[in-house]
Amino acid sequence: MVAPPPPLPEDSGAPARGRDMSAPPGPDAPPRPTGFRHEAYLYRGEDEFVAGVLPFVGEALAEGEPVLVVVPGPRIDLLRAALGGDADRVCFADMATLGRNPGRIISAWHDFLAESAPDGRRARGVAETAFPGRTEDEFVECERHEFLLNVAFHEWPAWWLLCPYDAAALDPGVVARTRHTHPYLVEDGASRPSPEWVGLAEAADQLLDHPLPPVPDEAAELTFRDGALRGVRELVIQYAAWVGLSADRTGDLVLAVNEVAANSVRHGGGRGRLRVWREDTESGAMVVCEIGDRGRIRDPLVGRLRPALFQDGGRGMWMVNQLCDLVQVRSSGRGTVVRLRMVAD
Amino acid sequence: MEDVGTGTRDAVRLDSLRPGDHVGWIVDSAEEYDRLSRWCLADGARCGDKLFVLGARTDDVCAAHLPEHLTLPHPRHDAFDAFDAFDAEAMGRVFARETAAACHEGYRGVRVLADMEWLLDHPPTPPLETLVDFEVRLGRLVAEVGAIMVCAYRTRRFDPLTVAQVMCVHGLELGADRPDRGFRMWSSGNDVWEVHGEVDLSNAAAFRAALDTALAHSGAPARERTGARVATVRLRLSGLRFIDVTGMRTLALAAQSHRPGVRLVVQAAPRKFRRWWELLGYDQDGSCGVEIQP
Repeated sequence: MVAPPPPLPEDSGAPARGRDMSAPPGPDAPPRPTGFRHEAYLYRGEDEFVAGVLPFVGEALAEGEPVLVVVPGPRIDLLRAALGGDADRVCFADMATLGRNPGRIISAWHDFLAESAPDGRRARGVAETAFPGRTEDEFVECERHEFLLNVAFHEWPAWWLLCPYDAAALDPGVVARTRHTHPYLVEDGASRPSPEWVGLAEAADQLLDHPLPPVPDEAAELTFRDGALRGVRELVIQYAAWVGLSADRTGDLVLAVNEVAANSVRHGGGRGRLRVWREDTESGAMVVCEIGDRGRIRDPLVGRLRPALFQDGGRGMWMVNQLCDLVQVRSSGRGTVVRLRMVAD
Repeated sequence: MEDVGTGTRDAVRLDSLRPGDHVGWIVDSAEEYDRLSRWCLADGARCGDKLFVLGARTDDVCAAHLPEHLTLPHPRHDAFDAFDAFDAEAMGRVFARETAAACHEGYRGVRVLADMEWLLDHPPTPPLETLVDFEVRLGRLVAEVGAIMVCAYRTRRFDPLTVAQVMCVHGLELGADRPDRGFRMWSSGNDVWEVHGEVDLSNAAAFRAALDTALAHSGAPARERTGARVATVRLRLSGLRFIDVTGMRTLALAAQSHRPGVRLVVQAAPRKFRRWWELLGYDQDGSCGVEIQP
């Protein structure tokens, strides 16, 4: 992590070069989240990426603000080269690793802010979550993640997050939906409120009730109840061996499925159903596990915030997000479904 | 010798019992008790063990089924009836005395077959924590003395959940066609405890009770013995096949609750345990005080 910066004077505002970042929203603009500024930056090509991100990072350094940049590896190399000697003052992380499962990114941001800006001082971040090359399921979860950032940090005192999107390489639908998930957009060198942002309340209501692709007919199925989680684990182990997961990744998937199934026992009516199948994609084979029960999850941020060390409950789903390549949670009055994916390495 | 059940070391065979073994045995019927108790005592006689049988109605069972050329020296020795239920230390003292006497008489040691129904002769029905605490301490004493103790739990008197969880604190388990009950925890001496098997939501309560007993009853004697202000208790996890988040939190909470008098050291833990432990943050200084060693 970067060294904590010195305290800033009150309202030391950071207007961006070449664009009006600090202009207040117009009369028809959506309400600005208190202290959290969440912007989508649509760029085309490497030059525009650097042209938009470099000033943002540079201003943070000039103001002594901690800054964390989480983008794909090649983008890190670009920024490091552009920053020169200042690169060492910035903390970088590869989004393809840290954010492989978008469900664990909010926890990472929370850790960064708690460590680098614990007293509410200004902090900035750059996050290219929806980078080209992700799968359709991952893009869906990236979109949910962007919604949830607004929910998770809307009361954070001073936190500015810029989300670059490669508009030239991404599906136009992915790019268009950034207007729904980000309260602010940076286009043509200017930052302005997004008129299509759906708002906190509507986002939270819709987040957990979004259909998943159907389960294939060949999926193995096992119903379970209290005291029968070993059978759940054994079925996962069989599929992990078939797909060729390493010992570490097998162990991680077994723990993750066990935790979700344990939640079914505790909160989902005392029983649940596991379905497991294999998927072969261009990027390799994977195990997919889906656990369903009759319970309902009300908290859209379930598993996305690190729980306190000895907190009773909440650690299981957080661990699931840390361990799996992709986690998809859906919950409504019809019940809860959690789908986990683990790719063979 | 017939194979009569499963355990975590190996498939348990009565002729493989060794001095220091503390064996749990789930009994579904009187016929099963008759059959296996006969094997157990006959094998003990063959190995040169001095045999004891504890519990109600066992005189008749044993007298009826022992092979004629064997004898049962003290089927209901007075000493074994001289202490209250759940007084493991008193039972341990008797074990030590009887083992010394048996060895002096030329026996290999002492083998005790206990029908644990005798615990229920002292109402009210004991809570799970009491049973686990009793069996953990008993197992440690049996190991120290070098006796063999087989604890029979009849399913007609104990509920299945209690039986399953009490089995976890026996190093070995007998019982035909029984699935493994989850984890096993037992003392291997010198304040070292072995944990094998799998810990999850279904047996976390028994795991906590076993840990509390191990930490409490290993800690105090160790402090007295060494004069140190902090006793070190070692938990060896080399045989741990699986532990879930509830199990890891249980371990962290147990260690924290026994600080500062006891320092818990985890040894030989599987790599995945160490990785998950760190991910959960329990390795941070001051979190729960558990030291992880290779």
